[in-house]
Amino acid sequence: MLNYQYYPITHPDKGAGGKTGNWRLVKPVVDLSRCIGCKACFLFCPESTIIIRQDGKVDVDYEYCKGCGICANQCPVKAINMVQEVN
Amino acid sequence: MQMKVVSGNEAVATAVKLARVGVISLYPITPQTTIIEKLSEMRARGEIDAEIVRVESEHSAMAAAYGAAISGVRAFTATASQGLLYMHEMVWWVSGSRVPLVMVVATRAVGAPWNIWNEHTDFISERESGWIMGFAMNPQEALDMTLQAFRISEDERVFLPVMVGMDGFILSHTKTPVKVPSQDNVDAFLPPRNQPYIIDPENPIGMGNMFQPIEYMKLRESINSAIINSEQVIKEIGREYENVNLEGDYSILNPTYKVEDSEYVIVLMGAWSGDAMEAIDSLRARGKRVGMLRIRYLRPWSEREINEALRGRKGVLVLERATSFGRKSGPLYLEVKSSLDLNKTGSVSSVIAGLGGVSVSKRDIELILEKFIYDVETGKEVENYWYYPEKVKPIEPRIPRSIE
Amino acid sequence: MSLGFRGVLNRNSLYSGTSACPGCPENIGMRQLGMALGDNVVIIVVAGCSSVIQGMAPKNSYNYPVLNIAFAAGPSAASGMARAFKIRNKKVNVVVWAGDGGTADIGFASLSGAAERNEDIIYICVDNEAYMNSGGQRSGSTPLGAQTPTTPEGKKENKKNLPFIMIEHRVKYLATASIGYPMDYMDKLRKASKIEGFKYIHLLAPDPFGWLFDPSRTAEVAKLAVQTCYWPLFEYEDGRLIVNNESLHCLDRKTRRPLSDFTSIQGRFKRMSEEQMKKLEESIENMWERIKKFYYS
Repeated sequence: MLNYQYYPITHPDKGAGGKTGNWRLVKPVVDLSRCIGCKACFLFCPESTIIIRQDGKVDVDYEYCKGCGICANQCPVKAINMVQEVN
Repeated sequence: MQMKVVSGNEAVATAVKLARVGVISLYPITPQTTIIEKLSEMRARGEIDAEIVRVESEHSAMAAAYGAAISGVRAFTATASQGLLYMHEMVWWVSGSRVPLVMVVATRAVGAPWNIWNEHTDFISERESGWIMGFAMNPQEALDMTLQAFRISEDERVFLPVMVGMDGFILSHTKTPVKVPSQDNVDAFLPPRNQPYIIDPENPIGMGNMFQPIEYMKLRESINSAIINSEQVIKEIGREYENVNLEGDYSILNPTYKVEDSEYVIVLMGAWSGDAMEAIDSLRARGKRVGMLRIRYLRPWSEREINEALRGRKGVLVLERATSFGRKSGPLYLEVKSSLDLNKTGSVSSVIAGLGGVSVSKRDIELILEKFIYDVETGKEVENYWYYPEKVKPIEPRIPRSIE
Repeated sequence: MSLGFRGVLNRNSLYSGTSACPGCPENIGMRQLGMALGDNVVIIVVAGCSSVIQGMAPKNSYNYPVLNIAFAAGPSAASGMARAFKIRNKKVNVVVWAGDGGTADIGFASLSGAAERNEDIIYICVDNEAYMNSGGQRSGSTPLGAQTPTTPEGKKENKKNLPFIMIEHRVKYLATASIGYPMDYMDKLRKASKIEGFKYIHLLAPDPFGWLFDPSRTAEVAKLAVQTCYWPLFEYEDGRLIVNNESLHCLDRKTRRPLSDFTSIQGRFKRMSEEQMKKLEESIENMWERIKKFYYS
């Protein structure tokens, strides 16, 4: 590659919009005892921050979760609660 | 190598075939329509196997060629005045993307009001866009330069789109003998497609999302560096092209005619260079030492070649077939004047002629040069003006011969 | 790669940390696209929210080969791209991801041309019913009565019915979808990718910051739109229109959920007059009359 050539190319990666976890005012907390592993939250999460565990239930990626609350809104068994972000 | 009598449009269509173009996007506009008709005929006969996209606008024509080019296939489109202006947004998008692509512009005046005849304004108005821009003088050059354009745009030192201009009607429709190279010769000259990156599921990359302002500026600088370095590439490829066309001289960007001992040089671009050469011969027979510098590559603008050809002359006349409104000169004058060392060249003048298809003959060019030389020799200040030939007859709509 | 239910793939098309607003429906739509189509996709993103959602260089949130392009050029660039892959003998899903502004307004000619030529592409109109990326100005796809920065008194014109217009183009396959019904949307995507020719999918994407409702309710509003019969779910193929199960209750006026359930949640309809509401209801009634005529023929 010649040293003056520079192309407008980007590569798929996390955090293209920054550390979006900092955007949160409330955060989702999953009650695993109530979670039935239906994955509705996974289907509707707009940030790919709902992660499916080995046992089929879910975890949250707090580094990037924006706290929109769709997961809590869609959970059929109310296993997710939106909790005030402490700091 | 075959000798054929073809028009500029047919020559371009032949070049597109020889270059093994994969996707051709077409939209009709006078005077390039016969290029796309010829290509469609070739496709229907099976002479080429390119995919032809018959789009619904020129903006889409550039977009379709661009979509194909960025996915790894050689692409081509052609247009003229209104179409070129309509696709202006996409012309910039393509150069910003650094995707190799070739377009031919059969130049035509710009409306309003409607005018289908020859003028260079549409072509010249794209000179900011980051494309490499060459202008042909005759159908042979139209063919040769289109073939070279594919090679130039796909060179890794360049990776920029190239547009080749040719005079509408005068060049696009007029037939002259053209040496058509063989497919083997062109295959040896033109390697398979090369491009800086490709949009393909095998390797997911994104093209064109936002860059920080400073990175954007660096991207723009890269385009500029590539155009400036393309001068070297064009000369190299031009020299190599002599294997395809033994009589072509493409080893320099801007050819000259009898400048070596000239006191006065006329600078111009396009088909009327042929008429200018005859005018020069006529003036030389009368003792005037005149020569010609023909601009063949508008971008990259070779300051070095311009300087070399024009330094130390008594007078330089820039004959323009385009407008850049708002100043008492045309666009070529601005380019030329800014490349001259101060005080090393005498008077420089800009004469605008032949707009909207006004016919300019070799006699007209002779008169313009005579006036210029007279003004310089008698110490008058040379002026920039618009030239109107005497006794211009209006065009009479005629009854077609077949009905008479 | 399968998630183990209804063919949903665990294919991550969206890397976390996008520049989208919290609760963005376009992101939901993009993620669901990956779950349906998998790896073999090239996306042409037309100017809009999705152009910015990808974030800043050197990164890109979309885990796909992406071509960003000018507003009116999406379908034509896709045409060229589809032909290029044909020449290269590669079977690739070429997907145009365009907003409603880029589809109904500025890109309409390009869309119409590509449909008429039956180019082998999947065109997805992600409809958030306004030019959301620049602040929510009205587009041809904004519904009657909606308040936007350029229609402060509520839009006076009806929403451009793009699915009907595209049906008139006799496209190979057409479907309406909603991000609130992901399984239906994914089925339609999978079906589209198996068909050769021009496929049009009109995806409803309720935008919390443009339509003015709480971001946590994005999926809820997307479902309400279908339940209140504001957004019909149907498919068009081979000259036949099929109303999907989720919209069958709309065929009979008596079984429709009241439209006010949908409009009352949204701030953009708050200042709508009685007259405007009546007109909106009328236009939806008319739409269903036409759907019924086609469906039963």
